[in-house]
Amino acid sequence: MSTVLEQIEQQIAKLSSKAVKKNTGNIRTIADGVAKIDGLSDVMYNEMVQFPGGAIGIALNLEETEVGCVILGDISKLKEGDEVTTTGKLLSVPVGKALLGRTVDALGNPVDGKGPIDSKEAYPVERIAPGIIVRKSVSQPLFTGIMAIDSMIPIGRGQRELIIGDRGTGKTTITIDTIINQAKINKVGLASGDKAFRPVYSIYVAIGQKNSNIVRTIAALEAAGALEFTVIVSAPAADNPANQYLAPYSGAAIGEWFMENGMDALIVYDDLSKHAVAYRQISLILKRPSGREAYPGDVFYLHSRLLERAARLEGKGSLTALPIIETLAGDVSAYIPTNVISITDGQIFLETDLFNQGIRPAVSVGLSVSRVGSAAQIKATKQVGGKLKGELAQFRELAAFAQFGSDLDAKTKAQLERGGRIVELFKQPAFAPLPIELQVSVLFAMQKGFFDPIELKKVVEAASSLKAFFTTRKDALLAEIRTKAALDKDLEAKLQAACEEWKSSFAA
Amino acid sequence: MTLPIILAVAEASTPEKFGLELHVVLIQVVSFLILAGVLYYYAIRPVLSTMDERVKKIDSGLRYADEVKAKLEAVQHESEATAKKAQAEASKVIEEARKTAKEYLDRQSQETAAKTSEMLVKAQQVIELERRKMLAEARTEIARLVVATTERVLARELSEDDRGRYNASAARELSNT
Amino acid sequence: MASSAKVAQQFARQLVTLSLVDGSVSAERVGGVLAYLEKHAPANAIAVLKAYHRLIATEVAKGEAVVEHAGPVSEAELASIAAALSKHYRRTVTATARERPELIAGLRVHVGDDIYESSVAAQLAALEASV
Repeated sequence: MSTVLEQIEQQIAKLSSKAVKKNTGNIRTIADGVAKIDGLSDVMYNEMVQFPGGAIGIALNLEETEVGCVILGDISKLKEGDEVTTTGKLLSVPVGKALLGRTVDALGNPVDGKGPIDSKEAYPVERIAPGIIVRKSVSQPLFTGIMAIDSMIPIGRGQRELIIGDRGTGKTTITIDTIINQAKINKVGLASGDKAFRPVYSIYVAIGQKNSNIVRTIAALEAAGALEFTVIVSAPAADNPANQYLAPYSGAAIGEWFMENGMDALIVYDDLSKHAVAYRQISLILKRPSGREAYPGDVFYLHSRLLERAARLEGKGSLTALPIIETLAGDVSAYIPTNVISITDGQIFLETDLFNQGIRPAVSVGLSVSRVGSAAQIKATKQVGGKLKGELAQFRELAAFAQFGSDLDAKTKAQLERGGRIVELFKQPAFAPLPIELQVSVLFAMQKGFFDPIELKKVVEAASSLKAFFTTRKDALLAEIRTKAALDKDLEAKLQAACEEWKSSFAA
Repeated sequence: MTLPIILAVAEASTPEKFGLELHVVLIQVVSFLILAGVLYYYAIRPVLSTMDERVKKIDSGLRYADEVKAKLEAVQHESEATAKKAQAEASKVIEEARKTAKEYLDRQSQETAAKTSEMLVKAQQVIELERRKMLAEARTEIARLVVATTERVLARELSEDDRGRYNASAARELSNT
Repeated sequence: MASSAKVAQQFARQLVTLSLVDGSVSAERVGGVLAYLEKHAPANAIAVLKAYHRLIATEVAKGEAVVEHAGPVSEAELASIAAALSKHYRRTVTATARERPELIAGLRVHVGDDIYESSVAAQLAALEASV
């Protein structure tokens, strides 16, 4: 109790009798979360304005006679004629490590009931992306823990990789897997005491999602022990569109703090289609001219300025972005998908058909690319998985062709068999990311033909048995692959021997 | 075999005269040769070949017995070695299983300990959180009360003079900014 | 519709520039403008007049400092405030006093959109907000 009184006393002591200058205006109309305000002659673009009752707004339209503001927070108590004051500040959110493990709203206020956030710094929500000179090319891998992605569509730190697909194809699952995998790598790396180890902190921005989904995501992260490395920015569907519009920028600001302070961060925008919809709503209410699909003219800039903030900085850290876009009936040529595809450094395309066939994650190898390519892969993965993409593409082609005729020559048959096995090997359950050394081992076994004699239906079983064998019996070998990150003669021999050992035990 | 022939010759020659009858001898020789030939063809040769066969069979039988014996020995050796090896392997497996089990147990107990401490920490955090929440609530409430009281008191207690003085200083302040 | 409103707005703005003398509204000029409008009514006279009214009101508010106060304020104090504001805005600002007991003690000055505040009530509100 005494501390409370002390705090109040301190505040009283801080009070000064100095005159305060404010610039004010009055609400002329207010509707749908947007207020038109008379006055506010000193207001700047994107400036935060204070409404009575604690609500704040952002000046988005500066017109000749009025100012258009979106209101963040509770608008039910505002009415025409209320006094609005400028704050002279851009909207900013608290940043720092204190946010890890917390769930905040678009303004950085905690919404998880774990008390106030003890953060010392704040970053502006809108920020100009890093320029050309400070950037560095992407060359460090960021492992998603998903074999199909790490071996064929590698993602690097500082990259922007779009995840695109219809509803219910496992887009969110891929990102959650990635976040969980970062947490696992962080735990191993921090426990090893390696000074050069750079942990990756994650930020998950939920835009326009159902609250129940967000709760499930948080629960999945917590169950996997990944919440302590994750910040969740939540702007659920029930939030007003202004909050949904701002949430990704807030998340980016939180991520930028890690990047500026020499750390690596990963940010997931789930999803940008809903973000564009929220922005469209605001723009229509602000009476901005609408263009294609009724989106405003600057919807490209909306996403480009957001995604450009993900970068790898010279001498500092990096921010990797995984935006999600939901398509309708697999149509990637719609307005928002094409925009975001052209902004990002590649995309992971998820297909409903594959998903329904039981191929999960339903990554479509043909349509997915990573423009950073193999620069963001460790050598070991390149060694065992370099040709995978070509082999799989050939397999798909042949599989389609083989449906017509039954007489196939031996070579084609072998290719079909191998391709079918690769597809089976890439199947992976949700929330169970594989460490890269295990991926290398499985792919090595596949390349050396250890799966060839196994019946196609039993490949999944065999793969899980191989994984179990390696994790329980060959821990030292896995650690060696992890530290060396490349397969030399010695390692290859050891891997071969281990696979032989597994083969005898699996057949028996 | 020759004895009966000689006897026969002797017997035949006794009544007449003692001497050698050449043609009888010749006939005897010829018949003997025929007999010998017939015997050789139909009796001796098959018997000889059969005997040869027998000898061969016995030989091979003996050799086979030897081989079997050797093999038996080898097999015995081998089975002994296998048994030894199996023993060694079994002990190795048991050793490894024991080791793995111990490690697993250690890990499990460590994990359990970690989990327990984590739970404790979490519970403490929750308590701390509750406390802080309560304090924050109390603070806002107190602040509200302080402000409300101050307002009332000031509104009632401030004399016109006080207000005038305050206003004068405020005016100075405003003129200076 | 939107474009006609814009035209009216623009016209009103031109009329306002005509009504100013040295950056402050002159009653004489406004009278002249109104007389002209009466004679030559534009197509959307009501919209123009409404816009003109609003703009003139804003301009008038810029040249007038409303000093809200609780407790006595001397003429000299008002004059000094008016002088300081005139200097600050580089136009003549006249001060008018208005009693406002909610302030408890102190002053609050409105000039156009700007508010200068030095009052007990404002300080108490700041205290409540900061704790």
